[in-house]
Amino acid sequence: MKIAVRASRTMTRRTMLGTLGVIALAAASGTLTPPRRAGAQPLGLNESLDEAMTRVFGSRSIKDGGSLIKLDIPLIAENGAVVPVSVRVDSPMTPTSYVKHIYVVADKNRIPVVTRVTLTPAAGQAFMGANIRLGETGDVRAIVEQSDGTLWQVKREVKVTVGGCGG
Amino acid sequence: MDVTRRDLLKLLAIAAASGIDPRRLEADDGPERLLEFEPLGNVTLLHVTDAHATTRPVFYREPDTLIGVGDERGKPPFVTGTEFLRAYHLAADTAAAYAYTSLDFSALAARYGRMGGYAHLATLVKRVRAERPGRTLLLDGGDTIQGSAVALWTRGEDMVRVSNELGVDVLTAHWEFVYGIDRVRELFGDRARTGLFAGDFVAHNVRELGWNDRVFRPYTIRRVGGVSVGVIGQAFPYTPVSHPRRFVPDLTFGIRQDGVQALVNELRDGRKADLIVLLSHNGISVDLKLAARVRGLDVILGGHTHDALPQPIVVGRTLVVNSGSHGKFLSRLDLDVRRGRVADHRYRLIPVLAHYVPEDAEMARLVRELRRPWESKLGERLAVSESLLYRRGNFNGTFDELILDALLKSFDAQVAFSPGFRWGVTILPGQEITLEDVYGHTALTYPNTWVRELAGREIHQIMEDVADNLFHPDPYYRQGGDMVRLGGLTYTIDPAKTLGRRISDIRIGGRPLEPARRYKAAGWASVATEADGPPAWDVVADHLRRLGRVKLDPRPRVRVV
Repeated sequence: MKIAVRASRTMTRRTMLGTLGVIALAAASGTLTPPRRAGAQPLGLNESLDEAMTRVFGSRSIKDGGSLIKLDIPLIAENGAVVPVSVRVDSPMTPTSYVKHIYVVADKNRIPVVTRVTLTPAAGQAFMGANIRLGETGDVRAIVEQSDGTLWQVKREVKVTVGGCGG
Repeated sequence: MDVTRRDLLKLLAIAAASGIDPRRLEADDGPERLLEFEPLGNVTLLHVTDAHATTRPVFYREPDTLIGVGDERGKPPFVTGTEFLRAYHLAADTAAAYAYTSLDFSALAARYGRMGGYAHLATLVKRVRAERPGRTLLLDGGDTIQGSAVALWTRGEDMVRVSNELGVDVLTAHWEFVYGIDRVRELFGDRARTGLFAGDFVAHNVRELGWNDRVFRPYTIRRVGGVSVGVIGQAFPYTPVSHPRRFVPDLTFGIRQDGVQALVNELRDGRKADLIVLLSHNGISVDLKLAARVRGLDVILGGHTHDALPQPIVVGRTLVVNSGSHGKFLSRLDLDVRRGRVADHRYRLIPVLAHYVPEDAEMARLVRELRRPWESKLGERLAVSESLLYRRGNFNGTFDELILDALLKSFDAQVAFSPGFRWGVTILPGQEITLEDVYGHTALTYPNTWVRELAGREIHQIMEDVADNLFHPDPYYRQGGDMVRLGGLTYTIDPAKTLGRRISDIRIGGRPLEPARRYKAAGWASVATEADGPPAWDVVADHLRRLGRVKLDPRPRVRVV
């Protein structure tokens, strides 16, 4: 199987085969944020979407980011184990105003928060791409945290299907 | 532009000019008249799609049930039977009613005969080319090389050869891929080389995993009638999930709406195309949504869902054509293209009524030659049917019931699964079922049967999953095909509900399904893992040989809310 790597050709295969379902992860700048280690979210646990959202974002409100965020992900996963996702945010990347984090959340996954990418103004643009694993059909969200703490999100249904039965 | 009774009555002259015996016409209710076409403008697009390897004429009954969800409900293309006739101002008990609907199918089939066949199709195509020299393009939407024993045994070669003889200019694909990507490259070429196919194979949305490189040419530009025509190929977007992954292991597909828009812009601005056509294997609902979202597409020539639309559906400035299946129809779209715009158009979905269109001698010879090595094997008479046997429709058809019976009996199973394919020929009451007919419902490259225990909740889950592929409110989430066919159980379905809530009251052997209980299930055409049971054609053929006569009483299997 080939591993999709966008925007960075410097990663090794081992770097990409991270934990927690993040198989490949690259930031637009070419710098790599390592996947979060098992210590942060011990494998073997289940977390509901509500628990995960409360743990990460507390009671902060999240605005509709439809005009700001471009979430690119297949509508029907060709392989639920390797679903390419990218998030592009239309935002300045200056020291006073920039995108600090991009989260990818899969509502129906056993551990919904799939990844968090940390960006700095030096990244130049707010973009991330990864391959994620999806356990079943459900919404996938991209949540963007700006440097002033504002949160935006978009979400899209992704089907993970048994397939078959084409016309 | 509606087809009225009066239109149909104007046909005499053209039919006579086409070499049909005029004496036969007077006594007739007008099958030949359906061939009439008054030419218009500078470009003629001919479109065929989803032939499913029917080189010779067949019976193919259109669906009696085709449910649309949300805004689609009750409007074309989601109309059947009398509603269909009303929507297109067609009369019952006519050749048109026979071609487009399931009404009185057995009687009308006996009256009007088989449809399609490449020799008859070739006659029509040659006539149009003779009438419109240098102005005609013939486009094929794919699902061309799968669906028959001969196509399976020649791995698609027979169909590529008849397509070459027919003079297909451009082709895109879906089922072609079940012969594996290497075979597709041999038959159709790729970006770097040509294959056996003499025309242009286009598919912008087939990419290599990883670097996203295109495997095939995304489009071709043909100059006809002084007009530069850009044809973008859209292969079936969900090929990797609809068939075993092993056939296209390193490829990724998808609708790629943004990609279509980018190619339209490139053709329009960069390549100065006057007319932009999407040759699509999306399925009608996806075509309609795409037409509403992409700017600058003049025509979508669509297939996959087998909808036979007597008129294009107009979305903004885009004409969406869908041309049925099994060689039953030849779409003719005449366009008057001026200064990069379609000023006028005229369309007819021409029914290829084999009795009324003579064979083209060269094509007939080629078809005979390609079939000769297999003819005696295929002609084996397995049983006689007293019932009308068909597959097409949202839920179990009668031929599906036959396949399911064969699975249940052969494997002593409680539940049987068969895919909701939309291809498969129709057998009339009194007709013999041959081995070729069985292959006409089972000829694929993953035909093996399987038997295993499934928990009640798994059975329910599979049904919900497939129902969502058919009835998702957003067409971009649909894979096409019909509801999985089920034997041994009955159920209720509410298509308007959401995933996980559509199916209720599942009963196995008359008793309510128990989620935790394990049931013995059988099926075939497994997408997930390669099954190891005998191929479905053997199981079904053996079942028919044992039966001798087939008589199916009505089976109220599905209740639709």
